[in-house]
Formats: sequence, C-alpha cells, structure tokens
Amino acid sequence: MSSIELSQINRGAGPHFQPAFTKNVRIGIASLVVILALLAVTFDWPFAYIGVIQPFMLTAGLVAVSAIVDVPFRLFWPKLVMFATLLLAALSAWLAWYSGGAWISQEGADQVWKTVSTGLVGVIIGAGVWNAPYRNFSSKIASIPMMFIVLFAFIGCSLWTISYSFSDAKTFPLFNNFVGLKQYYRLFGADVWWTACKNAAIYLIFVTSIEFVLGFVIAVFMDQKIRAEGVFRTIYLYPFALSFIVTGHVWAWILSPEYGLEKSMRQLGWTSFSFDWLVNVDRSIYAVVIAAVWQGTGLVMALMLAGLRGIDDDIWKAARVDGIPKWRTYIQIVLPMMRPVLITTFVIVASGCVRVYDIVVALTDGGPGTSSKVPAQYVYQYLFQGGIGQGLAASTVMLLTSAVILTPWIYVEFVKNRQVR
Amino acid sequence: MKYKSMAAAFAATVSMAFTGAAHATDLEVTHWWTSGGEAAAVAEFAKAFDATGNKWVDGAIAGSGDVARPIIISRILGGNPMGATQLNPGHDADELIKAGLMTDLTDVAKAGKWDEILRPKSQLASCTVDGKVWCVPVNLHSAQWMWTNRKVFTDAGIEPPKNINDLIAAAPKLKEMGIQPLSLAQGWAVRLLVNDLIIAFAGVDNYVKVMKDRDVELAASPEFTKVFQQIGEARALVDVKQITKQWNEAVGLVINGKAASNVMGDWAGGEFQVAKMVAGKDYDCLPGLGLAPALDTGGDVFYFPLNKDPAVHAAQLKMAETLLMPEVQVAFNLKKGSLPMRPDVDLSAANDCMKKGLDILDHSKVSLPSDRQMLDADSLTQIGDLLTDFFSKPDMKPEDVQAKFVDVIKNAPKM
Repeated sequence: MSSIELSQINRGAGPHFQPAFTKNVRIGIASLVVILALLAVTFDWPFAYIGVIQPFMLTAGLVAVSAIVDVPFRLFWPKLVMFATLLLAALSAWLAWYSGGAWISQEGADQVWKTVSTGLVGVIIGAGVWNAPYRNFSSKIASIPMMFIVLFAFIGCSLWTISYSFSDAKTFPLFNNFVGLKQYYRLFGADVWWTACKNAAIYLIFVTSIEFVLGFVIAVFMDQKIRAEGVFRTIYLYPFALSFIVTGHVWAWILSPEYGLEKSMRQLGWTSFSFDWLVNVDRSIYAVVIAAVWQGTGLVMALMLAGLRGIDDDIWKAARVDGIPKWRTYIQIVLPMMRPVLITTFVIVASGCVRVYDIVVALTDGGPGTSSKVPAQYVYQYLFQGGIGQGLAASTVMLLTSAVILTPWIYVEFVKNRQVR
Repeated sequence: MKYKSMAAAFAATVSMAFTGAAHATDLEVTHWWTSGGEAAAVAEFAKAFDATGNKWVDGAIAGSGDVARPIIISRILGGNPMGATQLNPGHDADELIKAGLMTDLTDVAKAGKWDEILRPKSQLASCTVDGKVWCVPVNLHSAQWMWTNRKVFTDAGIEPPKNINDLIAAAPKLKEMGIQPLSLAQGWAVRLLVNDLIIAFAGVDNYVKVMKDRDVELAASPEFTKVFQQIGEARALVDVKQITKQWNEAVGLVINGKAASNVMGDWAGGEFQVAKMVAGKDYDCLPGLGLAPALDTGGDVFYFPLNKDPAVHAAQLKMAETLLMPEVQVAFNLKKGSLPMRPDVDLSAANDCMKKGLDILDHSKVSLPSDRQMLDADSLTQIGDLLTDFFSKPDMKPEDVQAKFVDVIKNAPKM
C-alpha cells in the first residue's frame, strides 16, 4: 500500500470510498450483534465451557473481527488486538495467581475475567461491525479461515501450551496454581525423558542421513534414462503410500525373532543367524530406523529426482565438454545447484523425525521397557493420563528445540540473504 | 440484498446454539467393555435398564481404559456429556466433580441404603466426595493374582509353586527347559507386577502406609531397600525379549505353556476359561502371589454427568438404582468374572478362583485399596515409567530406583 493511499484512508473519505451498505443496514447489523452478545452473556453461553475453550473463543472473536474490519480500522487493529491480548494474558495470570488468596474468591476472579474479556471483545466486535461494510467485504470474509488458522492454531495454541506448562494442571486444563519451573525440574530429572531425547536424536541423525544418501543414489540411477522408469518410480514410492501404523505393524512381524526374518533364516539352515534388534534393549530404536527408512526413502528419491530433472541440460553439455567425469559432475556441480530441493527435503524429513510417534507405537510401543520411547510418546502419555502440566512442559521443550535448530537456518536463508541483496 | 441474507444466515446459525436439543429418556452410556465376555456382561445392564421404560444407547469405546478415559473426559469437558459413563474408582473424576459437572447421587444412595449393603466400605468411600455420593460401584476386581500352568511344572518334575518364592526357586530349572518363568506385558502390567511384589515382600500394611499415608521415611528405609533388592532379583524371572505388548498375550504364553506363570488381575481368569482350562486342575490362581492373601478392591464405577434436562436427570437416577439391584448384579458379574458389590446374592455358579476371592473379601481383616484410589494418575504414570525402566535394564541399581520412587511419593499431591 502506497503512502498516498494511506493518507487518503486516514482522512477516512477518499475518492473511492464506497460503502457497501447504507447507514441504516449498518446500524441494524451492529445492534443485532450487540443484542446477540448480550444474550450470550446473559445465558452464560460463551462461558459454559471450562478453561480451555475460553481463550479459543476469544481468539475466534478477534479473528472474525480483524478479518471483516475495514480500512480505517485496519491500521489500528493490530495494536488493539495486541494490547487486548496482552491485557487479557496479564489479567488471567494475575487472577490465576491470586484466586487462591483470600481477598478474591474463585467466582469473583472469574467474574472479573468474564467482564473484562467480554468488554474487550464487545468493543472490538462493535467497532469491526460498524466499519466492516466498506471495501473488499467478500475478500475479507474469504480470508477468515486463513487468519483463524494462523492466529488460533499456530500462535494461540503455542502460547497457551507454554503458559500452561507453568501450572500444576492435572486432569483438567485449568490454571489453578502457578508453580514456576517445577514441571521442568521434574522433566529433566526423569530418566525416561532423557531416553526419549536420546532416541529422538538417534532417529533424526540416522533417518535423515540414510534417507538422503539412499534417496539421492536411487534418484541418480533413475536419472540414467532407464527403461520402464515409471514402474521403478512407483515401486520405490509405494511404501510411502502406507501409513506409519501399517509400516510399523508389517515390520513388527518381519523383525520379530519368533516369526520373522530370524526364524526363516534358521529354517533355511543358518541356525546361528540372529537378528533380535526389535526386542534388544540396546538396539530397538535402530529397528525403528530401519522401518522408517524403508517407508520414507521413496519420497526423498522422488523429490531428488524432480530436482535432478530441473537441472538444465546445458550444464551437462558444458561439463562433458570440459571432460569432467559423471560422478564429479553430480557431486560438485549438480548437488550444489539442488540446494533449494535439498533444503525442502530436509525440512520435510526432519520435521517428520521430531514429531515421530505412530511408527514407534505400532512397532515397539516404546519397548522393550522404555528403550525406544520418543518425546512425542512422553507428551501424549502425560497429557492424557492426568499430568497435563508435565505433558505441556515436555512439548514446550520439543518446540524450543525445533526452534533452536531452525532459527539459524531461517536467519541465513531469509534475513541475511536479503540484506546482501 | 446478498449481504442481508448472509447476515440473516449468520444470525440463524448463532441462535441455533441457544436451542438445546430435547432428549427423550434415551441415555447414552460410554464404557470400554468390548471383549466377548465384557460385551455380554454389559448387555445385562442394558436389558435391566430398558426394562425400566428407558432406553440404553450403547456408546462402547474400543481399546483399553487408557484410550477411552481421555475421550470420555474431554466429552464431558467439551459440554457434550453422555448420559452415563464407566470409569475406575479413584481420583480420575475428582476434578470433574469439583467443577460441578457430575450428578449428585446422594438421595439414591440413601434410599437404597448403599452404606449398609455395599462391601467393602472403601468402594463407596471413593465415590464419596465432601459427604456426597457421586458414582455407583458396580463390581470388584482385584489385581493381586499369580496364574500358573500346572502342566509346565509337572513336566519339569517340580511341584507346582504355592507362592512367588517357590517360583524363584524353580526358575533355573524352567529356564534350562527353555521356559520363561514369568511372562510380562508392556506398560501398566509392569506397575501391576511391581505393586504385587511390594505387597508380597513388604506386606500389605507397609504398602498402604507408603502409597496412601505417604510414609516417606518407611519408603526410604533399609527395609524397603531390601524389598527393592528382592524385586531386582525377580527381574531374572522375566525374559526381556519376550515382553508382550498386551496383557492377554502374556497370559496366552502361560496358557500355551511357553511361560510358567503370569501376574495379572482376576480378569485373566476369563482367558483361562475361554481356553477351557479348569481352575485347580489345569491352572492355579494364587491371591497375593501366595504370600500376602489380600485383595485390593478395584473395579468399575458409573458416573452420571450433570444434565439440565429433567427427564434425563430422572433417567440417570433410575439407572443408578438399577445397576445395584440384586438380580442385575448377579447376571452382570457372572458374565464379567468379577465379584458383586452386595453380599446378599446367590453366586453358586462361580468358579474356584472367584470363590477364593469372595472368601478373602468376606473374611480378611486387611483392607487394601487399589493404587488408583491411593495415588493420582500423574504420579502413577511416573512410577510406571520408573519401574518399566527398572525391569528392562538389568544393570539398574535397586537403590537408585528406590530413591526416585521416594521422590515421586514425596511430591504426590494429597488425596
């Protein structure tokens, strides 16, 4: 938006100022909204649900409004929303802290929270509705889902997770007591958590590196203009069509010493053959790696192949003219040129590694003992079995770890490069 | 015009939310009784409730309680409660009760004289919060049983064990024959086994003192160090490579003779029955692992989430009453393999193990609450993690485990 446009908007009545509704309709809609809000508060409707729903409904209100508010208001709403959110967050924390005290009861605290949040939402909604029906009304309506997802799912829920990890919430997502870093002390004192972290690291390192090397090599082979390439591509890609759960169960049979590979090798006559990784405390996570690599390599291959096909034929001709051997061309010329594809692939594979859960559940269920547990399993276990605070602390640590890994890359890719350009 | 109709549609959508759907006296009941015998048992409840003129709408959730519990609790929290739901006695629902989301059953309980009839007293006590009754206990399950396959021992030329110590003594010979002395399942089964071992080695009183009264000094004492050492020795009974994923697979190993014994609750008896084995002849059941013949009193209870519709409320109270009627109790518990809540019913059709259990229940002086009645779910999960670790790592020292165990007990919230 150019500065000229902005100044016109600020004056409130530019030449292209065309209300979509007449004033009467606007008054009608605004009063309808106010009546609905009053009704809702009277019948206790938005507050009939406990703890967790309230912030979500609040976000929903903010999003709906921020999407339909019109231009003059749009310049002002980010600050208002930020201010409102901060105020509410501070108020919630303050009330949560003191509601256990004698001078304000739980009900009193709820009432204050309710009144203030309703008031804020009311102000924003009222202003929004009043200003809404100017320009671009339909595009604003259309962008509601996107804004809702961003504000609610990514930002709202992350903030909610972090804040509740400082509580002692058990079965309920209720912020009853602020306990500081207690959940984190407990988390880092738990052997199982460290086992899970170690396993996640092993899984990440092995799965990414093996899938990258294998996927690239297969892609190079496929790139040799072989016959029936489509058939091979389909075969390699097929495992990816299976879910992690199916993969896990299939490999549980294959790797089981009682029924699978070990047994069939012994029946074939190799009686000393032993392959018990699945039930071996020191090896079980590597059994998971095997299954994951089988499932995921096809995708890496397909992405790499697409990258290889994107290399200009002239590069190859030039390399041939210079007499560079084929393998060196691949490694020293083609590979660096595939940087965007490599980064995309890495992000896809690595994020899959961080959140790994279902394949472990299906294959080993974290066992034997706790030897193949992963962080996501730890989170799930506590989140749904009466230890919400602990589960959220663990997921906050997972979030932070991913952020720590990704931030330098984001900085280099987006911030630094832009500065150079 | 276009906008007007949109606004009208918006208003209509919003106002929809205010009109609550009207229910007749259909009650949706959620539970996780989905195996053959369990489904047959629950059908008895449904039949009895339908006979009162209401309608039982079955809402079975496949999977174990660990799967069903989060679904049930989040439905109640989300403002979409079912008519009634199964849960385990204990503190799962405490927070729901405190949040005012459950129906108060005190009047039904008083009218039915529950406090006089039901035994043991601990069951009703764990349904009682602030002097009011919130749930209906429907049956009793106990977790302190060792199941042994007699044939495995006679084949090995050993007298079938009378207690866990006999089994430890027989272990080397069994291992020589390629038989796992004690089968074990992943997850909560490990916690169950270790609880039973603590009860067997430390005694019921000490166990309750630690778990319920939070006697941290006792838990940290040399006496308990010895108990943990004994548990450490018991690790040798289990082949880590044969730990199964489900409890019934571990029981299956005993049934087909690949393992000599298993420690599991009385629900394992159903598996032996399905395999057409006879108690006392083909298999033995040893309450309290043969050393401490005391049984805890877990089981199942029904909660009724609060509903504003008076018709539903009345149906809920009717159902609470129905579940404890003598004939309903007999029909349900015989199919479930559990013990009935009231002693004044006819149980001549029960098998040997059930009779053993009834005998202990009626004559034993010791009362042993289930672990869910003594500790919160969060602490139990922590203990479960710790013990699973202990059992799968032969080099883990009993003293270290004890120190961490004491830590969990110390930090567990008061009940």
